[in-house]
Amino acid sequence: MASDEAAILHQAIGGNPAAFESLVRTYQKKAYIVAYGFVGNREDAVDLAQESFARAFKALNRFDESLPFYPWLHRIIRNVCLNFLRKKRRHGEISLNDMVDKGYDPPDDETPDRTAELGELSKAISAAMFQLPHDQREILVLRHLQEMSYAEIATCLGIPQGTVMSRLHSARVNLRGLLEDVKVSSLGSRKEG
Amino acid sequence: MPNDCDQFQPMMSGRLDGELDELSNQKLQKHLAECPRCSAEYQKLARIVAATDRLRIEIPPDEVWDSFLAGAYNRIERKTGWVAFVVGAVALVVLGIWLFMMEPWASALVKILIAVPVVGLLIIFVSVLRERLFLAKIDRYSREIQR
Repeated sequence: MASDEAAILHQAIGGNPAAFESLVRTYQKKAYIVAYGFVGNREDAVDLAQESFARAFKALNRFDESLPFYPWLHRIIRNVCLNFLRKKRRHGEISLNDMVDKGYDPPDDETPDRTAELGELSKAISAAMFQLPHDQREILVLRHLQEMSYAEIATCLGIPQGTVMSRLHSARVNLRGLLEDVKVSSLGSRKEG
Repeated sequence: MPNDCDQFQPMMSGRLDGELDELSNQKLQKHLAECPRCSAEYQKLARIVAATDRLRIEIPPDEVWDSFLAGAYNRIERKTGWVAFVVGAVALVVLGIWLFMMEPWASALVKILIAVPVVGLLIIFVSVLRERLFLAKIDRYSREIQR
């Protein structure tokens, strides 16, 4: 953990509102992205990210300062989202927005055909992701949207790096199965360009 | 798929993510060169990884982030308010029960005013307890929530 974050955390635990505010500012978008990965829409994801910080604030005095902050916060976000999904599912009220590749800047050497092909595939993946078990969806979000390394994901989820690799692989194999079910053409056997 | 191919499966993801160590990388590369089936599998996986890398979540505009902290503080305040309210309500109910039992001066009307919220609270408590017990049996999330 960076020493300046450790100092901010120490102050936040001591009840300094400015320090807590600094933690919120640092992690608010990360928290939102994780929540979005669980619930699939912007409004709920913002609410759940706020709720997670409210719970983190309440539990800060139980936080072990020798450990990194984000994995602890991530567990709170995860629990808040799972509780939310449990309640929503009971009432059948889940709404999902697609994740899109809007804003993605393709590499210069990418052909227009390949850009179109991957664009189609991304769209199909964004819909299929919400059919995956939540632990597989979560690890895909950490890897592809948070751009975390295996070591960072392992720390965040409290699992060995080998499990990170196998869980990511299972998620991708399941995704491929779901996409083949809907016959996504870009999953054909053409060689990599 | 032959059994010895199984061990190379997760390594394909490791390689595509650039997280595979050199030795494993070489073993996988050799296997892919010899096994057309795994090679085809690898190509499909590569497309999935490339397409998943392009996913972007809609990030809310700046106004949402400007008021984000205030929203979190509102929740903290509301929670504090609810805790104070519940503690106060429970204390009042306990006091009411004590008066109900011990004070002969309490009129029938006072006793009814005390009994009604107590009975109401008991009904809510039993209902919530029953729902929790029922959900604990069927809830697929309960084991996954980390306490």
